[in-house]
Amino acid sequence: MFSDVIFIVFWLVIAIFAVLAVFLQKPIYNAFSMAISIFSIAGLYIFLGYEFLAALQVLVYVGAISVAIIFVIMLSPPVTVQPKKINPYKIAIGVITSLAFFGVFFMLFYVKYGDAKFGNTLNASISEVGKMLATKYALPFEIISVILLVAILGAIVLAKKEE
Amino acid sequence: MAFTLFPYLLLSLILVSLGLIGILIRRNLVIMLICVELILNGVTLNVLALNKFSLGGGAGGQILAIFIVALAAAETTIALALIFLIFRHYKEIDAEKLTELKG
Repeated sequence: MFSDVIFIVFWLVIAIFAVLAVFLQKPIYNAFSMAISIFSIAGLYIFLGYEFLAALQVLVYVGAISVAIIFVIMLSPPVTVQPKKINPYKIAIGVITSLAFFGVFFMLFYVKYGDAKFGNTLNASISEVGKMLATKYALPFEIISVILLVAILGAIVLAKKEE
Repeated sequence: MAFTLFPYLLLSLILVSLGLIGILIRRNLVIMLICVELILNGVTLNVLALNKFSLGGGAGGQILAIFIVALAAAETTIALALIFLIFRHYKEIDAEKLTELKG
């Protein structure tokens, strides 16, 4: 009962701040709303029993990605010109596409998983995940590290000031 | 309610739909990047909830989620560098006005 209340609070915080992150007008407000929404998703991972992934979520998304986005917003010159109205035709297309996507998948999930309950098996422990990463998934793990290295170098090369 | 599958799937669907609508109707590049982050988070939540439901929380789904987070970090790094470059070059980040890509 009590856990249900906490779950609903987390659920609503995620949904409301995701809406704010999309529809607010100033980019810095959008960035902070996204940070709050993503931080609360870590709470849902705790509910699901993934403690390590909750910690990873907070470290990577809130600690790195949100801060990087806020840095770029603060480094950029202030946008003083009022953004011109976008075409209402395009807004209609966007809303219809998104609602159609939502409707189709809502029906699919409702029909298939409407009253599904989790079993009470324990999740794989983090030492088990670590062993899998070092044996069965060793090659994808190395490829991911190369991708991260290339991304870091690429970002530095792109953002370097030309002489 | 915290131990049924449907609320998790509904929330991930809401996040992906909001990200989609944001990419389609917002014209600021930073906000479009924020919407991509929302989509990636919805996808990760979906993977983890279904992993708990049908595989009992096995290691494979957790490793997939770790890879999604790592790729999201790489993608954000490159996108922010590009946005910064566009800022310096064109002095604006309105996606409607960036109509030429050369030079």
